[in-house]
Amino acid sequence: MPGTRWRDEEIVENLSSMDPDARLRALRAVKNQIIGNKTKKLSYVKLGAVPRIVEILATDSSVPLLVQSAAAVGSFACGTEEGVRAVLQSDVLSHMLKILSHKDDQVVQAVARSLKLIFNSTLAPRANMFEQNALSQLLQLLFSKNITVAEVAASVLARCCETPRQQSAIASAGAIPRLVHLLSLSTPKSQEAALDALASLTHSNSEISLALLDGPVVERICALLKDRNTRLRVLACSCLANMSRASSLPTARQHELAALALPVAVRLVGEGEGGFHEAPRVVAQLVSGNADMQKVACDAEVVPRLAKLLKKEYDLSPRLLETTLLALAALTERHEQSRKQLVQAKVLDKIVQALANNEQGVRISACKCCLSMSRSVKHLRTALVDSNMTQALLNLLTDGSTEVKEAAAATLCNMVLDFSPMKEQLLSSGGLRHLAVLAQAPQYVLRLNSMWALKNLLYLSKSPSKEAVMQSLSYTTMRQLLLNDVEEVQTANICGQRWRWLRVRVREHDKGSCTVQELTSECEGKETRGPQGLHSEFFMYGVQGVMRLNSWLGIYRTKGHSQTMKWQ
Amino acid sequence: MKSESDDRLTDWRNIFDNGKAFSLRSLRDGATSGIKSLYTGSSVTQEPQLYSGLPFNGMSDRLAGLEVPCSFLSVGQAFEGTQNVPQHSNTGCKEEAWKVHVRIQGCDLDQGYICGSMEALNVPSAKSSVVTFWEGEIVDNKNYNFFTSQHWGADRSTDLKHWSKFACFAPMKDAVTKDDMQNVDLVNCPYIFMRWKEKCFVNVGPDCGLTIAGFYYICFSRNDGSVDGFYYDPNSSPFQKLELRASCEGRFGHGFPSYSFR
Repeated sequence: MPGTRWRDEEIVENLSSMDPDARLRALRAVKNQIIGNKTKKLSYVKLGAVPRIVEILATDSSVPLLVQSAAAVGSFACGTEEGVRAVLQSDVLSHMLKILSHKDDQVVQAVARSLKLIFNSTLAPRANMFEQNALSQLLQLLFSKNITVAEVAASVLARCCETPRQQSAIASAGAIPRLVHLLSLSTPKSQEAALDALASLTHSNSEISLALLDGPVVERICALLKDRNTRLRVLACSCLANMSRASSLPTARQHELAALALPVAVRLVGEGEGGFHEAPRVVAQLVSGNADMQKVACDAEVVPRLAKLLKKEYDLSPRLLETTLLALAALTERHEQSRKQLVQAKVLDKIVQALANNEQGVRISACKCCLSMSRSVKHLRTALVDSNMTQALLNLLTDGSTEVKEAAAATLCNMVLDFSPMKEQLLSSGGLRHLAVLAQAPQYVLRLNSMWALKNLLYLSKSPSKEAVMQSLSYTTMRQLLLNDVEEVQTANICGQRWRWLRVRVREHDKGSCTVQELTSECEGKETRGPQGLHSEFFMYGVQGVMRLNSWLGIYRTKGHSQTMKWQ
Repeated sequence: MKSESDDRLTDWRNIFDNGKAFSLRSLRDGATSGIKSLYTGSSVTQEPQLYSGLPFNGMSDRLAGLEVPCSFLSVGQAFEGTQNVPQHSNTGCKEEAWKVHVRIQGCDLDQGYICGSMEALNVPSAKSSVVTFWEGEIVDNKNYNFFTSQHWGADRSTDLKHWSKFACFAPMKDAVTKDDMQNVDLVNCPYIFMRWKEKCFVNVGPDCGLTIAGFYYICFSRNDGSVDGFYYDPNSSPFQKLELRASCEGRFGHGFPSYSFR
């Protein structure tokens, strides 16, 4: 309407006008104003435009109104969290899913596009897509003759793979053959959507990964590693990384795929930062737990590339910061040269800063980085000391998040070793007390990590430290841990893993108590009768445990005890 | 849980019974290359060391599924002995010696890497004891061979001269000289050859009267953990001899320090 200029409030009013034309005009006005304009989006959200638009979507039947309202909803959901929240609060998803079966293609496309935008946000509730027949509707779209619609469906599906259950629901609904088909088309958009969905479906899902691994689709994905489109390369790397890590004992084929993907992923790090926080994550996935791959990646100079990203910290999204730290943690996990490169890149202070980041994920991956670095005796003595990370780690022991506490306790395990200059710092700032408290935590990993830290703290320690530990921990707790706790905590517990056997014996004989003396006599009574007159291995095994306990506890000073060991 | 520990024990019994299970197990575990597999073969024949030597860390490590070529290579293992420096003066040749304590603090057999600390106790020129941190290369013909890399300042002839001072090197000297590594039998050699290089002073400054410019050629006995070494530094007295024995540190073998990284 040339010449007429409505105020925003009037436009919002008109969204609920009885006149369909007025509604359409108002819709168009809103849509055009908010596109790419965060401030406008926010102001319309405040004026209450979103529920009115959703109302149109829910009740109107005219094609232009539906198309425009769907587009406007999508626009609100894009770019601002407030927008997404407003959209989701108005229960738009159920309406959109209903309209997906609309017979007009335009409507379906518009709705599907908006769905895609909504699902780009992490706020979108995935579970809704698995209720009633939403999934089958999406699947129908995936099989739509209209390729654009199919792409959108694939993109939405890609965002709905957060749990193994969701993944298998999508897979068993028959999505994979269609995705493979989409991948074989020559349009980059459909390839991207299909690859996105396949990458999400295979993520941490060995069943789907292994099923795909046998198919011809792998060749297709490998070919895309060389594609000019960066996004396609990232997604292809991601797919291959998932497949190559799908089995605990990788086959030669899986090794081959990982080796193909790694150099591509390394080159993608730092390239087009915007959407590609995936690249560091893929690198992390490909190299973690594999020293050879860590070496290959390190030789490809990936550490300085990641370090460069870290130095731009302020431009980094929390997600990219997190994945970058994860990649560095994976690279330095077992490979000393990578650690050296990381120190040389001078980013340790950035990592220490990240320990205090607001995002939980960032704090955890920063801990993992410190943990990997602390596996080097040399760096424990030098670079890590200079970085002042101990206080930051100690603070994390009382973090609000259990996962952060677990990661911090794990990192401390190596820093409390005898040759680490940080041991003293940790002890003098009350680290022992924190660890002793965590050793009684309800969460098993926390108990394991803190007991491990206590165990390492006692390595080559003198009696005062031993007494201090037992005072903080108390004998009651110690005894409980020995007798009642899950096996792994015992394995890590201060007596060393030999105790496990002792515990089995104790339980078998239904001993109520577990004094060292009792266990010792049990060892002697039951197990010395070895088949060849030698020490039986049972005996050795048990005695080792007792001895470790003795020397470790620093409490067992009964005279003549060592003579009862029948040492040869 | 029970069955697993039982399995381990059975495994162990086999080692005691016939000594074959161990190599079978390493095959099964897919050990491929490097010092682990190089040495596992003969560590079966070395088994009695577990009884003769007091520390039996190796046994515990093996139970944990970790295969070590020698129980004395475990982290936390201590050694003590002397370093002798031949002094050439006008009055003739007399020897100066000081006590040395060594502890292994890290060992990564896959990478042929070892590190630890070394404490020199009564060094005439130093006021207090001098602690240094060292890193070492294990000669495994995978990560490192007998010839020192350029940046440590020793050439082939220096290498051969020093290695030849160890009697146990004699059988392999010809092969090593000819670069014929196929015929260098490290698996059945009861010694492990290493190079230890001090990296930094821990408790004193660099002006403590000692130098760490050079490095040690080390011959490490897998039988009893004794260590022979020669210090090489073109600017110091030649062939300073390091002699160490595995130490129980007064614990009579009833406890032994060890740690594992998380």
